[in-house]
Amino acid sequence: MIGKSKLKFAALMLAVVSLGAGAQTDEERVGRSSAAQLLGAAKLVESAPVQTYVNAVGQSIAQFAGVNYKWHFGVVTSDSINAFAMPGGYVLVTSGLVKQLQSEDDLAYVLAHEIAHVTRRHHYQVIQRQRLAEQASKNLQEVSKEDEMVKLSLASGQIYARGLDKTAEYEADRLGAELMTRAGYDPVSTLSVLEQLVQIKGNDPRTELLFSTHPNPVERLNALVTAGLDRLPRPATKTNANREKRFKSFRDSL
Amino acid sequence: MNIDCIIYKLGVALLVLSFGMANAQTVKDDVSLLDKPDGQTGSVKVKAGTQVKVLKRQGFWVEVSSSSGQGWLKISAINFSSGGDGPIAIDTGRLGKGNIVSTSAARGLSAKDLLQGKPNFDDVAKLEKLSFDSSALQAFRSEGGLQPVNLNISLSSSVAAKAGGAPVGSATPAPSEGKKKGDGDDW
Repeated sequence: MIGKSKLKFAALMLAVVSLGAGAQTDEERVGRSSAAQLLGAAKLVESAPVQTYVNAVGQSIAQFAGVNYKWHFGVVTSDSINAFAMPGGYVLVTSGLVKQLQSEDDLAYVLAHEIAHVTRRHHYQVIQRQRLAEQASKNLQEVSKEDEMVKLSLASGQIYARGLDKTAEYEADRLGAELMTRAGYDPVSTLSVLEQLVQIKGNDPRTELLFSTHPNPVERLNALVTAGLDRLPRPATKTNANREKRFKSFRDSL
Repeated sequence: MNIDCIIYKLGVALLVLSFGMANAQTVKDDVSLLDKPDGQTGSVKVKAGTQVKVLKRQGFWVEVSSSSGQGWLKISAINFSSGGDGPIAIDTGRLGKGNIVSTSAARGLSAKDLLQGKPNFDDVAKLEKLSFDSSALQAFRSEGGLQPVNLNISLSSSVAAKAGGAPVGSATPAPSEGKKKGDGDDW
């Protein structure tokens, strides 16, 4: 009984925090703090064309997500092979991962996977559960002040270091494949990207965090194929020279 | 040559060896192996459970060889779980070409970095300044030949528990969507 009362109180507190936040939602504030923590570990690539391009691809996909977020996409400087989704519409991909990709469609799958995490509120729900579990801690209850945003950033670092459960990753794979297809990209790139991950799996330090926070890429491949991936429609044409050219320019500039 | 280098090379050798050893799978149902990855009929009949060797993948198709002959199947026709390693067995043509690379250390974004990093709100502000208006976005999409797809199908949600198991796919394209048999989905 006491537990239920605490949960209700915590939920009410969250609602109050959200109502008092003005234009920025609680989800966006949490995402902002999480993005700050990640960007504290790896800075944005200092290249306007690079950031513009990844934003163009990301926005091009996100407009089909059916959810009204202010989307922000960025490339961070890191040899690590990884990508991150933050609540409220923040998505970051490492330069190390981009260098492994072969096409804009490959990048589209990576971004679509992360967009799916956002729209399904995978990380936000984890943070909400943590807030409820630790509702006695003021650190996680109030996020409107700057110092408290910093505390939330540090707390979110734990979540990204620990990762989501496997079902969330499989769901993001499925929804990401559907989403990129809606946007006009080739869903075969899901296989291409995961095959790339299979090949670099092992003791490569660049994938240490990725593989500790995601299911084995072989399991992800099997799950997608079993889910009916090959029934998704492919684009009418095989290649697009402009798409190839602009992706190559983007990747080569990293 | 230090011990780390020896251990790494041994690891790579084992990984490459595992690709080769895993390259035997079975077909899920009675099927005909197609002459080309185009959805047209093929002449080589294969019974469910027949062991095949995956030779390569092309789009959503895989070329396989069996005791009855060689031909093409949709990737979902293969039971990859029987081989233990799933589509890892697919030779994409990129194996052994230097993609398995190890670096001595990865800069940033280790679990430790995420836990110990100092929040960088300056870069968040930079991130938030980037914007695209709808006309610029449409121009980007047009330049890249991106055509929206009215997709009214969804991939099965029960795969997480059944990965590598029996087919549970429920995705069925609407008649106007995707490629029909014979459309030449061979790229």
